[in-house]
Amino acid sequence: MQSVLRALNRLVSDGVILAYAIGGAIGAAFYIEAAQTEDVDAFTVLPSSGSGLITLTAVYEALTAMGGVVEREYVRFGNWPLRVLTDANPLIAEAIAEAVAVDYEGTPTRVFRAEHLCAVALQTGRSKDYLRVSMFLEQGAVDPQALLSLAERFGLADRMGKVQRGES
Amino acid sequence: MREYLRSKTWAEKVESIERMNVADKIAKETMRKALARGPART
Repeated sequence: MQSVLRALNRLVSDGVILAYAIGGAIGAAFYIEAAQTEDVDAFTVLPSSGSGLITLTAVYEALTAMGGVVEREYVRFGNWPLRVLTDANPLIAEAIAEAVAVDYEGTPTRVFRAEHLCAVALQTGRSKDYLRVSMFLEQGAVDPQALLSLAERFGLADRMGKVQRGES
Repeated sequence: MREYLRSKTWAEKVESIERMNVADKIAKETMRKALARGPART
């Protein structure tokens, strides 16, 4: 994991990306019990290109130059495949902007706030994503009112209701 | 149990996920080899 985080930090310091934050199950493990996952999701902000097209080519090239190995949509560092995602919608852009600076065994990194991890999970909307939101609520790892407010702001209140009613 | 899990650091939880993945990989490989060998002869 250290090598993944160091590579992401290097992408920022080299100007390949403007910012990143860890989301998904690895981000969730910062707040709640660990759940099995096979990859690390890093949500990134890319510098704007002249054409307006979003491409991850420069990111993949930089990561492979740092020793990463491309496998399908991932770049593997040691035991961890890294999935590089973009700030594809306003919720994810806000989640990256408001991510919390944390420390992983001496390596600085940033992780989504609990509310954003849950809201992005609601937006993704698979069974395992709803389950993750339930775990946050059951373990008291997210403020339900703050999450509801965020869910309402991003049109996810119905999905939040399903989780609260146990219908997901 | 919950308090124990809460007391674990992020890195400890990530390491436990990593161990789960390695165990899963070994189990899948063992199963693949067993299936490739076919049914046991008695």
